Amino acid sequence: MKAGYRRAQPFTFQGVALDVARLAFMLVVTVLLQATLAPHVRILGASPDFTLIAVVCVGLLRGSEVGALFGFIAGLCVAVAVFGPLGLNSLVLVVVGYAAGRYAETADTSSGLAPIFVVAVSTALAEIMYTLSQFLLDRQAPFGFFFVHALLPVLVLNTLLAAPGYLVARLWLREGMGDASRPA
Amino acid sequence: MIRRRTLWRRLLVAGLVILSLAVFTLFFREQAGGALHGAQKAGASIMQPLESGVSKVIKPFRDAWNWVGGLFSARSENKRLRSELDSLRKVTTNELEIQQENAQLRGLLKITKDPIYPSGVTFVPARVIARSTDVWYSTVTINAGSSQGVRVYDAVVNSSGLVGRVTMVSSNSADVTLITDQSSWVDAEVLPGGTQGPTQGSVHGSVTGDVSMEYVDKTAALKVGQIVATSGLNNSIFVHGIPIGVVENVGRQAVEIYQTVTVKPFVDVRQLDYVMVVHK
Repeated sequence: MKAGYRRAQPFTFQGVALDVARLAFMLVVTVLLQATLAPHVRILGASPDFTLIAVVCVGLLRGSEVGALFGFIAGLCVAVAVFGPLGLNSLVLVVVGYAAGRYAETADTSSGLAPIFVVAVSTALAEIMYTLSQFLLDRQAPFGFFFVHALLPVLVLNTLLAAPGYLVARLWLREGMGDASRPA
Repeated sequence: MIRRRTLWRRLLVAGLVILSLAVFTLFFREQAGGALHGAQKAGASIMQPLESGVSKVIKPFRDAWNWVGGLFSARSENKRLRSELDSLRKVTTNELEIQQENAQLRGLLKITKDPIYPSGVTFVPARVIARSTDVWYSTVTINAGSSQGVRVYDAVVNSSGLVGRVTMVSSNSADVTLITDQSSWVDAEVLPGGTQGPTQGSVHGSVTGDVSMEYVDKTAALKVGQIVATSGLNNSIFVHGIPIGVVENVGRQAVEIYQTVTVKPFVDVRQLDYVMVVHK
């Protein structure tokens, strides 16, 4: 598994349409998995965040702009599917998608560990942002509780799922605009 | 070209962040029936069939996952459930004990209002704390003694009837000789009496635990099921009318002066708990 961002090929209408369709399908599947499967896959009291992994993969494979846009729409869809607060997931996932994309655009991501590293960092970033937002909403939790029950289990789960998730995403998005899976 | 692209990218991200913040803020500020909430409900109703479908499709995987997870937690869950069962058993036992205690105390309370006890009689509630362990004595120890006003020869009753009499007293406990003890003699009468009045006799215990009524006039026509109660005669230590038991058997022999009456006590001496000491 090699990661590596490559600047997009010249756009064609068919290529863009195909890529959008692939991303849309990936979005729907991810949101449905997040709404239906994730609540039942509980390890250490936490569920994996399939959406975040998907957004990171899209960011790594398609760049910061697509990653941010995908994150925004995925956040809205997840909030709709699970009746969460609209906008919060979007805000977090925009930042995550953009950051993952920028990492792929600027750093050397040829190492197979890059997606795992990015997912781990993104998970930590997302959890901190969720916690800060909850703090702003006047919901507080002790740091120890947050670390043990929120951050650590999700971090472990997401990191474990990062490699297979990235593999599936790369296979699915192997062609189309801005294919980052092909080595530069 | 590169600068324009960078600018576009930054504008896009900034726009998305601002849009997210705006949606987030509006969502929390608007009423439950507001536009964003309405849009969310509409979106959810569109996604609901999809979610149901996917949920059915992944159910076998979910069940498999839960089954595997259940294997890991089965041992600890079993332990937890066993401990929960133990604690529930304890709670149930406590509850039953409290109910029984409540019934007994209510029975004792009724005794104090019983009209058979003349005014001036004092009552001391007590609990049986020990009982004789050999067959020769039929006694119990109660947790009330001279400090509580208990004296030797005081009658001891419970809600069923006569239990026995106090035969030894210390400051905070007393020994009670039960009516089943072979040294116990209680002046008694059989109710209802005939035209000549109730038949008199003495209720006597035995080492076997059987209780009989002795010195009963041979001519008295007694029937099984009649009530035997204290007579209160001859300056008896017992007040008149405390129930003792029922006539269980009547035996007459030609050579005997008296007839022998077997009495089944109302009080089950094996299950004594709360009692009331009656001080005349």
